[in-house]
Amino acid sequence: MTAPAPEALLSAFVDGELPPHEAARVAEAIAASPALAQRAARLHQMKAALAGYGADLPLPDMPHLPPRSGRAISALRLGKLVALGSVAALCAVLILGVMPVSAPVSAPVAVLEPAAPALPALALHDDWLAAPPQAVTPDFPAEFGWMQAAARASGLQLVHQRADLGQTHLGFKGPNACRLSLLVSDTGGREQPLRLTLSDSVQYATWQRQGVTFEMVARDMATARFATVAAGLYQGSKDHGADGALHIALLQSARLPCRVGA
Amino acid sequence: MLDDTQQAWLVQIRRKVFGYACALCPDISGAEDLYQDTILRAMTAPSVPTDFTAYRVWLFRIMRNLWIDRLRAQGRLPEFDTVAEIDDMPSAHADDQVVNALAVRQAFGALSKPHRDILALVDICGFSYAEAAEMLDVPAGTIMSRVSRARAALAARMQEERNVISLPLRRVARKIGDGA
Repeated sequence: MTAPAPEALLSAFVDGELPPHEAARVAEAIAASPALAQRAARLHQMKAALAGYGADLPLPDMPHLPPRSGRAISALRLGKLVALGSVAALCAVLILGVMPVSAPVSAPVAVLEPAAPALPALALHDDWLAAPPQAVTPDFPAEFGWMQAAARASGLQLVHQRADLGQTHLGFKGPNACRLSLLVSDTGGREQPLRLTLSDSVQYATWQRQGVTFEMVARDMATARFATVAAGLYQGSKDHGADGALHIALLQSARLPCRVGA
Repeated sequence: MLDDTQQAWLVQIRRKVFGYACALCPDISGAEDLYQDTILRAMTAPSVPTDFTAYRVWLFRIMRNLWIDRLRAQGRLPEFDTVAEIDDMPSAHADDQVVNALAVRQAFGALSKPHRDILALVDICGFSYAEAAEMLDVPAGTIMSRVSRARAALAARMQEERNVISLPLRRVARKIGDGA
């Protein structure tokens, strides 16, 4: 069996069809390569453009059996009905003439990765999910202003903020019950590129920039979407939004559902 | 015959069903006809899946079978399994551009039937690779490569027709920022 071509991998990544470890690999490559990010953005945009194909056309009437009115069936259908003499006869003919269409029964098999290890970041994320929502929507802290455009492009809204012991916890919510935590700590560590650990149940990303450690965690988020958001924020933390237009376009066009299987 | 639940499912996904018909047929009247034929065939089927996922695949498969029957009757059935050699995604002039949705749809209409078929299933109808593979009775890996080749063909078609609108990304980012 031959390995899939890189273009096929990128295409499958955009569709959210890669197993988590492979999606992580592609997301890391996208984060490191503006050219690859450009190609991923184009694929996302082409996919999004096709999603609404035919949506602007008026939906034809649904045929009814038995017919409730002449308008419920197109002229062609009505002609067939008349020719057959009665609705019962039509049903009989269609039933007898129906092609043997076998009903598919097996559900897609999910590729499950081993459970993610217990992470302090995940514990904080779970604590936040369990707590009642903050009454007031927080403003973006000034030092994280560069995140705003990326969060907006990802469809994420800042709904939680807590600073404690040198660590800031930012909680985001998005459509389809999507919840995502970003933890930012001054750790003074060396530079570290984006690293992703993805499973179907827990998604985790971490990187270090200029002595600051970023950790991003979510549960049940589509891995490709999580990886795309992580790649966008990683890039934003590199240049503080100065030249993140490409990744903004990528984030904006990545419209995968937040929840797995949503 | 469809029970109440299956009728509700039909109403829920009929927009996607019609979208698939539009993607397969070159004209609207043909799409409407295919759509209504499919609904009629489903409504009179002696056996209907009782699981939503299976039902969705079953319904779209009815439409696809009807479409293939028509093409065959007209002597215009393409070879779906042919692995066409298609160039990679064109990279020239691809930088600093945003894809225009209208251009994508126009280029899509000009694709070959097999390319339109696979992209319609995945991008328009929203089927997973596993579901599409089940519908077409091929391995999921085949779907992956077919989708990729179809997208490459779509990009090439757009490039050919110069239907990509140049829109500096910097301006897009500013627009997003302004929309706050």
